[in-house]
This record gives sequence, structure tokens and C-alpha cells, in this order.
Amino acid sequence: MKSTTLFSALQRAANLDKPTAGYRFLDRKEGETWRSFPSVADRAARIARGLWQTGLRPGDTVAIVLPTSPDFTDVFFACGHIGAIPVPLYPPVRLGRLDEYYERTARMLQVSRASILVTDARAGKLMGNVLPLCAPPLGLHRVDDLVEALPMDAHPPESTDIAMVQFSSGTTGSPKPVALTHRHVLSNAEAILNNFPRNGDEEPSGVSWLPLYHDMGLIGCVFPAVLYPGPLTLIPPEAFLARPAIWLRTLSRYRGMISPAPNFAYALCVERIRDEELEGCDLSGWSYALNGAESIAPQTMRAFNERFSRWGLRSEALTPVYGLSEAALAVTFSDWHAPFRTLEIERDALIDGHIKPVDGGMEITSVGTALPGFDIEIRNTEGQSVPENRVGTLWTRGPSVMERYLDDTPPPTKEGWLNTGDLGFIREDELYITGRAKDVIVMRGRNHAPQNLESAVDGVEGVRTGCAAAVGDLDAGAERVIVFVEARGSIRDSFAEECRQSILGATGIDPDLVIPLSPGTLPRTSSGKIRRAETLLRWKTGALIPPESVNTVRVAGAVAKSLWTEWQHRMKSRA
Amino acid sequence: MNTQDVHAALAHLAETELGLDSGLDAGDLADQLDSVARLTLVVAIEDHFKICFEPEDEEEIRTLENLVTLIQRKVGKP
Repeated sequence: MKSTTLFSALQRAANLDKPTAGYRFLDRKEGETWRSFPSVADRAARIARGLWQTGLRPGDTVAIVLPTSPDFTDVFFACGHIGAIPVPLYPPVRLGRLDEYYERTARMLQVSRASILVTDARAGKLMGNVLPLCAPPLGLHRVDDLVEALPMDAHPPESTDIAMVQFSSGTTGSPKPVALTHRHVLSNAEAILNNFPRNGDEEPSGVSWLPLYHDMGLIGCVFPAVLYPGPLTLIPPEAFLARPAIWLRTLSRYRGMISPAPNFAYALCVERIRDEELEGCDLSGWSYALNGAESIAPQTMRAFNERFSRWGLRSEALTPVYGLSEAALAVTFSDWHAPFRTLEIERDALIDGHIKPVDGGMEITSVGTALPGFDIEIRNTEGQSVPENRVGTLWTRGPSVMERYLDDTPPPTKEGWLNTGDLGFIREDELYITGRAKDVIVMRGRNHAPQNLESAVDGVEGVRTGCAAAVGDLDAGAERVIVFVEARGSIRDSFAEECRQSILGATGIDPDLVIPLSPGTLPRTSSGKIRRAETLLRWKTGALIPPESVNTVRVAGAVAKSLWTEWQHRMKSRA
Repeated sequence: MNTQDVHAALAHLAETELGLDSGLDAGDLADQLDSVARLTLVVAIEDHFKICFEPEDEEEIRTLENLVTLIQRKVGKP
């Protein structure tokens, strides 16, 4: 019988009790802990009793701050057992600025109206510092203290109940809690599963190092595994980031067939993995190397393919995909059977919105066609649908498109269609993403509000407060971050570097380019808001001009150029 | 392990793991390294010195000096 909720999906998987189905958790040393679905369901039911005893009731929200571990999946499914709503949040970043982490986490607890915060002994040592900023009414609890001897009878949710909340930057930059129902998440997980061709008798197995607070890790990996049900091997994200070879070794060791990651992960593998780390590896079983969640660089995919084909990687495995949190996850997939496709187009044509293919032009990757049950449409600024080969805003509709944010912020939807905030065009039914209408920067698969980068330069001497624009530029393939900063008076040599350090320190993002500008150069709306996308477009077309004299233009341009050259030189010497 | 040895080992790790030829600066680490680089460094340090940082240890690390002091405490001073 078809599962209508995550709760029923887990019960079904537990009842089937397939010996090969379950979650395998690896630690940093690649030691494994195997959890079959019956054992996940049993411990989830016992944690559910512990949660109930704290006073938690159906419809309450549960903030989960846990690393990739059996604790995470058990607590997540325990919420479904009693109709509570899990809100996965990211654990403290190592060697990060903890004060900022505490503040961000407190804001997320507040916005998601968390009733309780569940963590483990390790993270719990730090999470106590969040409580003075925002204390959930039912307090902070460690998983081990919630496990009761007896399982609890379920209070099963309905398919239209909220299954989980995931944070998204939406179209305006500030994180918003997307409320996804069981129907939303299951329909997306099902669409993903149904899209995989079956390779004869071989059972599909997944491998993922993606964080479990990320839609691609949870909805794209954890849910399909329980729905199928099949085996999924989970690697701690920090283990991958520190030693990327663990990902490919795990794919080889467990004959992983499906494994997704954002573009930067493929680049990290090319840069950091040494041949000797892959001794004896066989990547020929990896049929679906999905690439999504951020801008896709064809150069990266080609480099990855060339680098790892020696270990059996097949070029057709690399599969660009497109999706977003507001649609639960996936919207389009490219063709499984063929190598990824790109199109070379005239750069200027892109700016005026008409696509003209040209040899040697700007190369854009196809992210494929809409999944069954989903529709995609490109619309102009008046909201009208435009024909193929015209750039506009991408809209989509389908069974997993969100209906509301938990904090009742108006959703970016109209008559069932979701405004993705991304720009692109459709050609021969395939979608190409060209840029972003929404003010969001995507780095390493995570969305960042540009406001955080902009406010980070306010303390730098000479910066005009509130006069900065941070944008993500997709033009170069992999997204690069450019920050435009208006400066008072003359611009000293170290100005751009000081801004860069300040941004890196405050946000953890290292901007690729900082461009000092004369006062009044940034384009603004009639209400005085900076128009970020317009700033980028003007800069690229040489039209970012200060309002005063020609002399200032020349000076600003020369300063920007010299700083850029100096900065590139500095980066090269650091690399 | 003396301070000089720890500094030398950190400079080596910064070069081999992060590609920083000139090593780490004395200032705030968060101003020099992005989140992935910080994570890479901490894992490399734990592996190299065979130590494990607890969350409360990491609360006190902001600069290179803090890091050196903590490593010395974890491995035991000579």
C-alpha cells in the first residue's frame, strides 16, 4: 500500500524488514553503524514517549540540532510518531564564531516557534548558550534522556499535516521557515525515485555526505531510502569536507548507485583528492552523480569526469538537476542515459533576453526537463508566459510546491504556481538557469542573505554605511560572490582587502571580488533600496557609473581594476 | 611540545592542507579562513596531534595563539 505520511512510510519499511534496507552511518574513520528500519522505528517510538512526557503534543515544533548520526533519524521519525513537527537546524560550525551561531540559532528557534530543542551530549555543551537568547517552553533535552523503555502508541499524522520545516532564503534573502506537509515531501521523494531507471536486479543504494538539515540530504536521500526501502550510507559532512576522498571510497565500498552533491563538492574532489587515497576504488557502480543545489559549472563536471574516469566513473553518470526548498526539493532532472548537455550562447543576447546560440559563447548547462507531475514556465516581468529561447523568471507547479511559511509570511505563489526567483530559459523542453532575480547568494549549496555580507563592511573605515551590494554572479560557471562598496573620499590601497577580511570574519564567506565605488553609484529603487541584480548587470555592461564627474568614473574604474589585479595576485600567492 | 614545534607543525598543515604557503596570521582565524578551511584545519590538527577538541575547547579558540595554547594543553607540555 502507498504511504501517505513519513510515519506510515517508516512503519511499512519496518514491517517489510528487508535485511538490506536501512541507514548505515559512517564515522570519520569510516567505521560503520548499521540501523535497520525496524530498529529505527522501535527507537523512534521510544523517543516519542520521552518527547510526550516533556509535554510535547501533536502540531508542536521540535528543533533538532544533531550531527549526522542514528540520533538524528530516530528523533526525526519520533516527531512523526506523535504528529509533532521536526525542524532540523545546523550544529555549531567548528572553529566558527560561536556568538554569531548562537544568535542565528536563537532567531531560527523563534521564527519556527520551537516548543523544544533536542540535541546530544556533545552539541548540548554549547546549545545551553542559546537558551538565554531564546528558550523553547519545553526546554533543551538530550536524546539519551528521552529514550524510554517502552515504545509509545502512535498519534499518526494526516497527509495534509506539516511533516517538517526547512529554512529557505526565499526570494528576499532572510531565512524563512517553509512548512512542508507529508504529501509535499513524499510526492517529491516518490517523483525522484520513480525517475530512476531500474538496473535489472541490482538494488539501488544511496550514499550521501550532505547535511541532514539540507533538503537534498533529507528529502533527496533519507526519505527515498525509507520509501523504497533500500540501503543508504550516510557520511558526516565534516568528514567529507575535511577529507573528500571518503565520499568516493564509500561509493566504491558499498557499490553506491545514487549520490547527489552541489557543484562545489565535485570541484573539491578534483582539487583535494590524491591518487593514493583511491587505491583499489571502483566507481563504475555510480550511475547517478546528481549535481544541484547551486550553480552548475560545466568546467567542473568535465574536470571531475576526466580526473576520476580512471576509477571507472562513467561520463553519463554526471546528472545536472534543479530544485528549491519551496518545492520540497527536485523540479527538473536531466537525461540519465546521456552525458550532460550544455549550450553556448551570445552573452549580450542574454542581457537583452533573447537567446542566440553561438560557438565559443557563454556556456550554460541544461538541468533537464520537469519531473512527471511538475510544470515549468518562463514568465516576463508582467507575469506573462514567454516562448522558448526567451529569458525570464522561472515558475513551477507540482504536488510538492509549498503552500505557506510557518510564520505566515506571504508565500511566493500565485494560483498554485511558485515563483522560484531564478532566471532562465527553456529550449527544446530543457531548462537552463541563467541567473537570479531574487536576492540570494548560494555558496556550497547553502543560501545566504546578501544583507549579512553588506552589513559586515559597515565597520570598515571609509565605507558609506548601508551603501553596499552583495551579489552572486553565475556567469563564470561556479557562482562567484561580488561585493560592491561605496566609499567616502579617496580610496586607500588596502580598502578592498579590509572589506574582504571583514566579510570573511563576519559571515565565513570569502568574496571573490570587492569593488569600491564612488558615492551614489549603486542603483536604487524609488524607495531607496539598492537594486542588486541591476548593479551586477550594469557592472558587466560597463554602465555602473557614478552620478558625478567623468574624472570620478575614471578613478573608480582604475581603483577597482588595480585592486582586482592586486587581489588576484594575492590569492594566487596564497594558493 | 614547545610553542615553536606547534607553530612549525601548524605552518606545515596550513601549507599542505589549505595551500597557505605563508602559514596562518596572528589575527582572528575567522578573518583568514572560510568555514570549510577552518573545518579542514581542525580535522588535520586532530589527526596530526592525535587529540580531540571538545566543543567547550573550541569556544576559546579565536586566534592562532589560542590554538597553539590549546594544542599544547591537549598534548601535554614538555
